[in-house]
Amino acid sequence: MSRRAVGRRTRASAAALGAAALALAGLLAACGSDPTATPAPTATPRPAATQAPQAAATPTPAPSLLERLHAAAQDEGRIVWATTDTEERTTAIINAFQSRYPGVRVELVTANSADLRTRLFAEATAGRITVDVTDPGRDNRVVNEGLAEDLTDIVEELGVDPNLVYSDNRIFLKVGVPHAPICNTDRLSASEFPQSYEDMLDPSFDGEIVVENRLKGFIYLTNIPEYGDSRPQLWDEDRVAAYLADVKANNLRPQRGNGTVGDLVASGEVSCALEINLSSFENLREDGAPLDVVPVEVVSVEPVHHFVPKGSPNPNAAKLFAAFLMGPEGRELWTRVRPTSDLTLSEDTEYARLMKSKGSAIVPPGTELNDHFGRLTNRYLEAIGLPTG
Amino acid sequence: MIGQHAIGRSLRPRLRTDPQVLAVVAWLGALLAFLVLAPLVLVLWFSFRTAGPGERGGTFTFSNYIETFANPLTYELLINTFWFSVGSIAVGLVIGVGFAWLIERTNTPLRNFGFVSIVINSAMPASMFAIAWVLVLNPRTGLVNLPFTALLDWDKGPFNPNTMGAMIFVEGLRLAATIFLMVIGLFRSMDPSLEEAAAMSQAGTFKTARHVTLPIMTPGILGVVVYIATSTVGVFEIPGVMGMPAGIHVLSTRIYLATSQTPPDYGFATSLATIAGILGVVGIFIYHRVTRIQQRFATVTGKGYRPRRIELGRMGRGISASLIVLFFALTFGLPMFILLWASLIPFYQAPLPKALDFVSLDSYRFILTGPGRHEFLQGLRNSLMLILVVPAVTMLLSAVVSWFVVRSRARGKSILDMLAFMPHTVPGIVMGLAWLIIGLFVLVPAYGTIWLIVIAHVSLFIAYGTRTTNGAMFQIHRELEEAGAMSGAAWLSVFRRIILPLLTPSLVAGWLWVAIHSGRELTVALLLQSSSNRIISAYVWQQFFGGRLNLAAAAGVVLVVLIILLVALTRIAGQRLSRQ
Repeated sequence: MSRRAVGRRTRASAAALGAAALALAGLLAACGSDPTATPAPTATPRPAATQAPQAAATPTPAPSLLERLHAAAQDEGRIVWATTDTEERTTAIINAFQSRYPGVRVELVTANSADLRTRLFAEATAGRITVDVTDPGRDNRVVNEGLAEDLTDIVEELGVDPNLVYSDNRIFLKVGVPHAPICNTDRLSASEFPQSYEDMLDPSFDGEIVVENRLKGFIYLTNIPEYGDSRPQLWDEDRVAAYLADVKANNLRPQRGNGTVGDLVASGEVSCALEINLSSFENLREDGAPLDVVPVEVVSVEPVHHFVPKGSPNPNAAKLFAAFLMGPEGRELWTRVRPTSDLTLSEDTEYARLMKSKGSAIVPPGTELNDHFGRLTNRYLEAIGLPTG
Repeated sequence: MIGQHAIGRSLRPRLRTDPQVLAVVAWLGALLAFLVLAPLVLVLWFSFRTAGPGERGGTFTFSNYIETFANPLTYELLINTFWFSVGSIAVGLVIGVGFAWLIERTNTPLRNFGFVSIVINSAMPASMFAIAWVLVLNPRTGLVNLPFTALLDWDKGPFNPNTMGAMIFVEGLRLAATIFLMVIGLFRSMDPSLEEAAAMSQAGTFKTARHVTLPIMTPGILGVVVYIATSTVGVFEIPGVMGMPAGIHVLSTRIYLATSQTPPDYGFATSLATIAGILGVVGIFIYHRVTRIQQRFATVTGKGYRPRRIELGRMGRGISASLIVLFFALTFGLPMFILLWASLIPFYQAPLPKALDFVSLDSYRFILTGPGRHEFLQGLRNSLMLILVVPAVTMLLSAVVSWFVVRSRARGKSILDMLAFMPHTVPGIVMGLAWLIIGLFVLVPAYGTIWLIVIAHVSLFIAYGTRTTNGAMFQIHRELEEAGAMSGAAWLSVFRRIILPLLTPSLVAGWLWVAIHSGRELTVALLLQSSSNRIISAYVWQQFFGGRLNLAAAAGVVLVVLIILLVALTRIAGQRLSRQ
């Protein structure tokens, strides 16, 4: 082959590679320019400091805490919200916040709570916090090591329900997610459908039950000494362990993740889930899955918390967003996007009405449980025959 | 020949003292030390500390190791990891080497289809592949069990996804693609004169393959086996999705659990990671022994380089075509069908007529034009960035490293090779942690950007890149560059005009492998992602464990389609370059 021919072939190959690179670059550009994206709300013009007073006789009332926070947040321009929730659930909240407080754009980071926590502690040690509002998981170190910002001023200003805030107003409840057993109504007739946890011990359920292998529903079902007499409906630790040891005889199928557990029951792969995050259940039922909740006497609640890390990059925007999430508008939105959740865990929600109609009591836990979480997890996993940590 | 060797000897001192060579050695050493040593030292450091990454305080301790070795679970993990590795490598080796030979050295039909089907097997993120196979193997609703449950009315079918056997089979299918891509360059570069000599001696196709081709390839294949063996120690996704829920753990899943539990047990995690690293060092030692033998088998010389395809005959062509179709079905057709099906229905149901009422494109609408589009499109953009940048940097760096490791007489070249190999032996979740710390304390401007993930991926995949280019470099005889040097060309010129063009087939194969693996990598990205550097594999993971299998499947389908396009474009470009 002549040098000229080789040159032509080389140019042709270079052109092919160039075309490949251009095609990818085009895709990159297409992804970068999302024409349907919601534009960041523009900042509302604020009165200039030099503006003349409107009337000397009627002094302008001092701006409220939220107004002051909003003004400062506009200078920051954004807030980074790191959460375990998906964009599907958070979009309505982000849009509502951005409309309510123009000039502050919410940037979302979604990850599981373990990854969020790992990042947070690493960032705190480095003194480079990158998130403004986030999920502490069940890790009390957030409070014990002084990583959480004090939100007392917001709590007092808004008159937030004391049941929603913990640890001297440093942690607030985002949502409470109930956990209960569910079963497939196509696989089980009305007479076969269990009515209690004990019914699921029946040998007819051998090989028919899937269990979420973190057992969170049972951990939140546990009545610990620190609760005193405040939660008499909950089971004591030995009773939970004994139940799990008994139900193990039905050859449970372990699975990770509430979504995958729910899918296994919805698809008819197994008849029941020993317990599931009812938010996942509700999503599946809305999609037409043949599922129903077992009317157990007590429903445990998994609390999902949020806090503002000390040293967050946009502290005013962070507090403003925290105030929004704790306030009536945020609470109402959460109840709408996660129908089975209710910040106040009141009875005035769809889920509460459903469980009340079944005679179930909804009992939220306290943060004291966090100190027992690892130990209880290991004990219950051992009882049910799964590897411990 | 004697004269050429004498010339070669006379050139070696010159290469050692060439200022260009010395500058590149220094630059490479520093870069690799940072890319590789920094995360490894961090892992080792934390294995001797009472506080984990990101935790304040802490003191020096041996207790992490004492507790780890006193724990019977550790030995169970090692045994499980051993069987998982050996089993999946055996499955992957038979399929991968077999297909590389069929596609590169024979006249089998469906060659292009076979190549693409093997490569697109890599296109599917491992977590998606595992999820798909769980859906295929589920005892009651799984596709392969449906004939037993729907037609024979059995309560459950015989297959179960949550067993060691299923894990080995599925991982073996995954490894086949990697092994294929690693050995295909060797087959492509092989001197066909030996096979031709066998044919002249009336040896049949399979006799030639068994007595000539395979023995020539054995050192190269052994190198691949050792490489793969060290990587299976850190494999996470398939044991994570198929084994972890049923309590079947290997080292990587246990490390993941230890870091994600509350409170995290970093001592156990990092000491297990160090054990994995030590196993990796043993692997590297064996690898070096093997590749030293491999060096004696240089089969591309300056005397002729035109591979000829072996005639299979009519029956052989029929069988080989059937095998290619079967492999396509197992590695792509079946899992892709299930993912596509899962993306069209709101919750998973067996693909039976009664479920057709639920079929819609809602999931695609949601991620492409609905409320999920911001997160998805940002992930897509960042993943495409990784696919473009990571393989280019990795393969260029690999080619230079390989030249020094294979060709130069520079002191410390084996250390350079070892450095390049080390990250491969550390589980991704641990590398993610290490890079998180480096991003926070050292690479401050890169923290929270896609560039930190790019750097972490280069450090993660340089091991693969150098294994590919090392293998190809061994096949290129010294006489070619010695001839260039004799003509007065400087080292850089010889490297650019002789070495790189001869390495092109392997560079393209390696580029493709790194592009695909970077595009689908999950564990490092999970820890390094922020609001501005999300990638698509993390999006899929979040959706799946967030209870939205349909969205995870839809995102996975879009990703796979994009990677298939990339494979097709690269294949076309690679073929053109190879023809030169």
